[in-house]
Amino acid sequence: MNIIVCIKEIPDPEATIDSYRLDAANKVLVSSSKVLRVVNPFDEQAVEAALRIKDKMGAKVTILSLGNNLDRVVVKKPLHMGADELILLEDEAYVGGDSWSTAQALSAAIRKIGGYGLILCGRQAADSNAGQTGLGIAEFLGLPCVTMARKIDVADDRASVERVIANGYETVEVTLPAVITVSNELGQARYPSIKNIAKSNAIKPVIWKPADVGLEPEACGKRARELRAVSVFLPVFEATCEIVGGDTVQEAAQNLAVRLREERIL
Amino acid sequence: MTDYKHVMICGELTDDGLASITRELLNGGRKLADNLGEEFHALFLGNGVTERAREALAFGADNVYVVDNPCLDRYEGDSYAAVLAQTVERLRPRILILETRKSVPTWDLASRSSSEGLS
Repeated sequence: MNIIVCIKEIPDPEATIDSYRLDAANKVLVSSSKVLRVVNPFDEQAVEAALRIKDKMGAKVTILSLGNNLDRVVVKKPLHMGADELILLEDEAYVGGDSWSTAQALSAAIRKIGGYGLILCGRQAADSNAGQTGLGIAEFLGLPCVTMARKIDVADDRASVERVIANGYETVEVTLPAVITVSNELGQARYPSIKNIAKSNAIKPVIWKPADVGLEPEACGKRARELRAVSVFLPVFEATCEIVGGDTVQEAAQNLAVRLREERIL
Repeated sequence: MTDYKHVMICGELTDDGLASITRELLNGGRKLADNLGEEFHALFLGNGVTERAREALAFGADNVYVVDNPCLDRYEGDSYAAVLAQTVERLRPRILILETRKSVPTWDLASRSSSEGLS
């Protein structure tokens, strides 16, 4: 079976807040150059899910990512973990998109790859936290989608998926091909192995420009956004303290009740 | 998009009536509609929800719509998204607000139905 895993390169989610700068003019948060780039942790778990299927029944695992000037150390990590192939949608035109334009470009690439049984994504990206790209891909490709997987078992043309819900999990079955988004409950993603690093060093990423997947540059990235940021700001926390007094304790309590009532808290 | 008007929420009903998040949405949606000078509607999908959905009127909705069908008994993303997209197509709200339910993970409903409606 051919499995495609979509991964996103993001700034290290462990980075502290002071390593970010607010670019108010462009309405974005900019991470300083000191912040490491990493594979979105949820996507790493999607890679892990694919590799577990590969271990069990054999599969070809293709990694797909989108961006510009992608850090090769980052995007090659899934290969070092045991994936077989890396395709990068890499071009200036892909930059600055939203879930919508990203899902469109990725689904165009997945159509071009073809012959897939399973498409895996992380449940959300740890930088934007929208959790929409996987679902968008499924809708654009007309495939069923199961979100929040913690375990995936593939048999014939079906997958049985344990899906995380509020108080436990539910098991659902889905026909393949399907899109499945993977949650952190799947468990720790494996470390790259020396063997796989040595083996995958020779693998050259395949680069696809918008034209290669049949898209106009205008239909990608920033220019294809459906969502526009109106403002981006750091919240300001302010606390004011007011002492409510009275001649007696009872009177103070009464005054407090009146004040709370005025503020519509009571 | 000019014939799309009004604010709509898609809410959740529990056995005890409106879910607490839905009451919050009704409150927020009403304010938003008032600020925009538009009507405010509530939509409920499910099985046997018609009677319980009336409560939304008391929480400020001008109209309550229900899609009441045994097929919608249990939340299932594909069918709910298809039904929601069709309902939006018919009722044409300008703004639709969805919630992330606590009981079942419906956070996929917004992205599914928006891609469905626009693709």
